[in-house]
Amino acid sequence: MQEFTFAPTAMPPAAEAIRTEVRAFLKEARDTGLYTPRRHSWSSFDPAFSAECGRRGFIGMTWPEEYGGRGRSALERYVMTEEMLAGGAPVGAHWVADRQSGHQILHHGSERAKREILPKICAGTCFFGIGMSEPDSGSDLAAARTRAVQVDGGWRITGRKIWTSNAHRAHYLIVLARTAARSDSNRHAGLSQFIVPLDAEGIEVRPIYNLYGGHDFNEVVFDGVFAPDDMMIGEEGSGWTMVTGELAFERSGPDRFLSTVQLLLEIIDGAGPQPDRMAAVEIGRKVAELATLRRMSTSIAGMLDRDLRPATEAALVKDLGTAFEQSIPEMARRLLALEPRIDREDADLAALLGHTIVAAPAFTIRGGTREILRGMIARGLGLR
Amino acid sequence: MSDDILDMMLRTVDRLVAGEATRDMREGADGGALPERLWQAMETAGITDADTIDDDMTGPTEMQALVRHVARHALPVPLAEVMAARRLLKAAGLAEAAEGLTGIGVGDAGGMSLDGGRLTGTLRRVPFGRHLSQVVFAARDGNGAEHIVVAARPASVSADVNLAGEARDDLTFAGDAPVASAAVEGAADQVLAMGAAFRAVQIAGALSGALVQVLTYAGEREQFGRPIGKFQAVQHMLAVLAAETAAASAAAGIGFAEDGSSSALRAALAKSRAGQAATEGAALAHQIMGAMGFTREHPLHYQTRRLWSWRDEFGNEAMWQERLGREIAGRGGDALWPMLTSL
Repeated sequence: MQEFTFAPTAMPPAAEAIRTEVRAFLKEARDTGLYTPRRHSWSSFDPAFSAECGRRGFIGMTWPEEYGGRGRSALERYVMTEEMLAGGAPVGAHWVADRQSGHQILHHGSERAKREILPKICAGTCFFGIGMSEPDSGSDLAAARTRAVQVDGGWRITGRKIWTSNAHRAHYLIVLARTAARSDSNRHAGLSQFIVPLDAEGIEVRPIYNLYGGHDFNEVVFDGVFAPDDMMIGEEGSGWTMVTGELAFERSGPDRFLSTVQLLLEIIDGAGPQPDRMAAVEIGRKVAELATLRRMSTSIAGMLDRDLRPATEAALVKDLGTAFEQSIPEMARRLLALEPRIDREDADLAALLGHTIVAAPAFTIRGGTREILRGMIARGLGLR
Repeated sequence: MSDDILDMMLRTVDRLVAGEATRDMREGADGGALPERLWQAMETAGITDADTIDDDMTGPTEMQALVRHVARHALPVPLAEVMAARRLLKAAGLAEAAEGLTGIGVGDAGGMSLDGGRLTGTLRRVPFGRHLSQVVFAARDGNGAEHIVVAARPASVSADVNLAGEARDDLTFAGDAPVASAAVEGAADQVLAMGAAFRAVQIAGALSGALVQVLTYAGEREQFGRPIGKFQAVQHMLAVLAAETAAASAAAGIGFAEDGSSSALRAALAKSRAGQAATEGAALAHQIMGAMGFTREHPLHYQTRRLWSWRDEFGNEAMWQERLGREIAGRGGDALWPMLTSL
């Protein structure tokens, strides 16, 4: 049996130096009113904040300097990331580009794509969305029907993507499309990835409102959208391998257990310095879970830093992590006597609770549903 | 300890399991006896004092790997207790006082008293108490100062067992003189934390042992014409069991600092999360294994009865969670994240 022991990762001194730097930046940003923690969250889309992160060198940190990066280690980037999330910083605009898209472009993109796009991402002025899911495909990415047909000098993409966060305000999507028919023997063959600018001719973005009335995700329709050859990422047909590799980054990160940490901090403060026994026990329980999740997540960061591909471990962390963050609003309900509100945007605790309650169902869906992840873990255990 | 030596030690444990860990041995130990042959074989192989190979004692990673491995096989031996005792003595500057089978114990609510060089009080449910030649614990002197004490086993021993049939005996001291003692601030916390940190490691090991058995069973046992491991509902239960096992292992890692010491904060985090995993994991393991796992014949219970016991020893989850919660709330929300990143 494969043992999932999550060996500890010691953060190098350079990473701890970044921690100090990010904490100082966030304090300054709060003091100057650039953002308000416990009202914003990491998924808040805030271009001004992203531009400031770009100026400070907090985006694309691990990428080479020639593309605007800072040549830092993955662990330094990890520490920057967790500090941003724990500080409630609104990093949502540049998040996908920093975590996934830029990474893909750097490793598999053309030289032109690297030169044109990566420096803008690093500057915090270029944002990406993820074009994987499709109507009727849901968790079954291999069922993608969006097609890319070869034409002179490139490809024409036709189809639809759905649940595309920020497509109405991002600059590019990385689109997973079928470049060859799938075969019965290999469901994962024939998929390729393309970088597509959202202002390209033939793209239509339609809003999908979420259940608290917010406009975050979209349906994106591609009607013969042209993508030149050098905007394909990787080899033709390598899409599946790249997408699944990318998901290890999406699934194990601190964004998979820190989504509701601002509410947890409010609960701790709300319990007061001398909490009753019930509050103390609940707080202790959640903090122990949080400390354990952080250890598992940093352990995976260490594995990724050593070029390992801990896909099953990442699925474990996402399954445990999203269940943790989903449990925080319920904990708030048990400990704090207040009715959640949804009708106002201020930093009021009732509003924070209200927004968290209605946002929570997404935690165990986005980035792979809990059930899909458990299937992956079962595969890792040799059951499938 | 080098990886090679650790690897050799782990394989030695496997060999001992194959040779010594018979059903007869396990059943014989179930009730409080110490399987002498197995323990002596572990002593001869250098496993019982593997943590003293280096001058500065072995790092926490190796120590944990060994204790986890022994717990994975549910061997009814006091390896964790012996290592915990030595760590406590070393930290107190009393390393020389470790002699014979030296374990650890926690006093009753009133605490142990060391007044005028005389020990009084009762250590409750001391692991393997009746087999120990010495026991390490905390006591308060007449001025209220705390001490780490090592004492010979007293004349008064009241035998009992935990759910797994491991000896958990009350040792009552009535004016006995200690073998050695040293004034140590927070001694009671140190003993409790060290015991809890080791129990967290053992829980991770026992869960891993249960997972292996359940996985094997799910691959072999057929229902409705196919192995139960092919059913999605069973796969999902196994995935959760694996996740809880991994969480216990990660939590146990938090229990020790890099120098192998523990603290109330570390122990609280480790024991709280590992205890939770023990509860959920044992329940899943039994559910997946169906009625077979509920029998005395299938060896799953050697792990699960230990899980149910170990989660309550050296402080259960609620006790540690309350302590932790009070600490966190006292510092305020903004102090939480810096506290976690400084571990």
